[in-house]
Amino acid sequence: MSVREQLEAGLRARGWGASLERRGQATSGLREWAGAPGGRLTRHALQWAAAGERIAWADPCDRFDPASAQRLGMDLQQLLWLRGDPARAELRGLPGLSRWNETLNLLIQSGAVERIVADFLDWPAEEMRRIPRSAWFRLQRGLEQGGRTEMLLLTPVPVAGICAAGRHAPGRALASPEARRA
Amino acid sequence: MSRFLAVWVPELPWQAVAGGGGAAHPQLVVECGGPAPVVVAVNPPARRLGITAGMSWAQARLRAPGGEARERAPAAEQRLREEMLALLDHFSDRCHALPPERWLLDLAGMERLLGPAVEMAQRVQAAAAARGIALRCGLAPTRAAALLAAHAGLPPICGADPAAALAPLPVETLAALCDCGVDAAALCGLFQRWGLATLGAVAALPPRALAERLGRAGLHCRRWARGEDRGLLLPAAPPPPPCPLTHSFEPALEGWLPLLPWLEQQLRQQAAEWERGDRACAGLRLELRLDGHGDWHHRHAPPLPHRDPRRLLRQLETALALQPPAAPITAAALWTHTLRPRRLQGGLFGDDALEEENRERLLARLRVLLLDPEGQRCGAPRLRDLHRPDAFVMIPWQPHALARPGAATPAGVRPALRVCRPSPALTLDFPALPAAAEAASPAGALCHLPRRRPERVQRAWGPWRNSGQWWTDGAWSRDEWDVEFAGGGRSRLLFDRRLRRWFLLGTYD
Repeated sequence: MSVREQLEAGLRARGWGASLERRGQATSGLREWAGAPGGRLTRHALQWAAAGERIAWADPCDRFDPASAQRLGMDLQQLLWLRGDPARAELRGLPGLSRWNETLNLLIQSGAVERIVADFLDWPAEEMRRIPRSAWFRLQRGLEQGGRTEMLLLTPVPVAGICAAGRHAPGRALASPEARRA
Repeated sequence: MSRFLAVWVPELPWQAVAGGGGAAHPQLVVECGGPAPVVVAVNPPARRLGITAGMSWAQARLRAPGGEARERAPAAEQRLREEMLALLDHFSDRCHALPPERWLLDLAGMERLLGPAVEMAQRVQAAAAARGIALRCGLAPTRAAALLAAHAGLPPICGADPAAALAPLPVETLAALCDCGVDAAALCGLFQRWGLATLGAVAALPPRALAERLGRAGLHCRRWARGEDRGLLLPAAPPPPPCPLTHSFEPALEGWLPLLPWLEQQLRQQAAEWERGDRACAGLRLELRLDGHGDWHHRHAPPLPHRDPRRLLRQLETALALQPPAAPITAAALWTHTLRPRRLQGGLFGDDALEEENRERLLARLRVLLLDPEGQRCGAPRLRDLHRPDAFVMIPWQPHALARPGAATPAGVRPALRVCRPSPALTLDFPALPAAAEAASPAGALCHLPRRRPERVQRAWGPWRNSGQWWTDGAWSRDEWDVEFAGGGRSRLLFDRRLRRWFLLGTYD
């Protein structure tokens, strides 16, 4: 193994693999894909996450299917699955959203994962709209400062506003910059 | 070439009690703590009568009616061990205690200071004899060989390969290594039933076949029979007994703030002791006795063992602030559980140990946030090889050190399933109810989904029938259907053949 390959392997082991692919260009940030269940958002999100090396899937409604993820190419050993428990009152409603916001902040600050998917597709839209914009700015600021983590937000309605880099409105094609270029 | 010196003090409990005074009549040391007195050590005349450690006092008395029994003295044994350690410390600073009655010294590099290894062994024996301690020494190039040589009374093994010197020893000698993690005594009996009488015969066994039959323990025995070692020589300090640090407060403390100085002092002293003994805190328990209001308890288990008194104090302070004691504190007890700290080899690109510690800390905080103390909702899924849908277990998240890039998505795969947990029950209105309506295809039926308007099933694929675990209470038998509704959505339904009901398994997305 050459020195270059050893260095690349070492950098990948430290979670900098995506940066290697991007040739050092920082593309961390918040993306938002909004739409109703059935619009294949989950499948696209799984494919997007599977390209990462360390993945976190925040699943407040406990809808993630590990078998589907594996079929779509995700390495389950690299996946940190955070399952919500809708039966618990503390994890429902606005208090639950507050906990999940704190969880996402913790994940971003730790830098332990390369890609985060926050799946709020089944969360009530009226509660999602009540999240203050400052919460999204805080997440975005954390992502930019860390520079190693990308986050994808799946929501029933667009909520992140200008904090999100790419959006996907219901009934339309993917509106993220990569999709437009493709 | 002899590098390791093994020292064995046979019948240490008897030597501790007898104090070097030999007796012509049988003498026994008896442990009286259990339900019946048990012999723990004997002197040579008693051994000649067939009395061995482990016998009950009644059995020993039958063999030696005039034998003298003495009660075991743990304090005297401890003094003898400390005396031995102080004696051996003059010969090497790399001394490994193998409780209860053996020591192992690494003599590498000491010859230039103290003379040849053989002379050192003689000096150890002479110094011990001057103190009234009878011991046996074994010199060999490896640790296992030195221990076996001390047990068998072999002369110093000078060659690089000790296997030839150990080969004539009987198989029972392996029992000398019975406290090395393997039940060698049980394996000795097995080897004897196989017809193997000497260590040479055990050493000649084919390793693959031995591993297939006895697993790792068999390979350990074979390696010891060949006098081979693996691993480093680490100083072994016996773990300190769990004893609480207690204090009574007179007058009683009003509130929990005055308790903090006492806690800080105790934790600092403990941390210094842990540092000396190479230990780290793996658990902490604080018990407070309240004036007329019962007790107050708090347990804390850090994600990884550590010995930072400030972090431990902060944890206790937070616990006291969240649930302050309801009455004045009259007494406090602090229990600590210690372990050896973890050691990992550092890497070129960073500190793996630090990264692992950070990951453990992150997971612990996530588990607290998600109200998941069991770790069943925060981890990595592992699929189980079952036909049952949604069959997986949660395991601790430990990503690969060298991750492989994400695999390419196979073409033509089905869309992802969004699983409903638990599966909500459905009602299907069939247009014309056949005789076996539940088992019929749901195509054309009106499906009443939870929190949605009823939708008609336009097409259906299936059934995929599976069943299993009929021998347990968790038996299942179900038909699964993929259905497409008139509105365009696709879902997976299941018909539970045991309950005779339809459920929504999930929605394709």
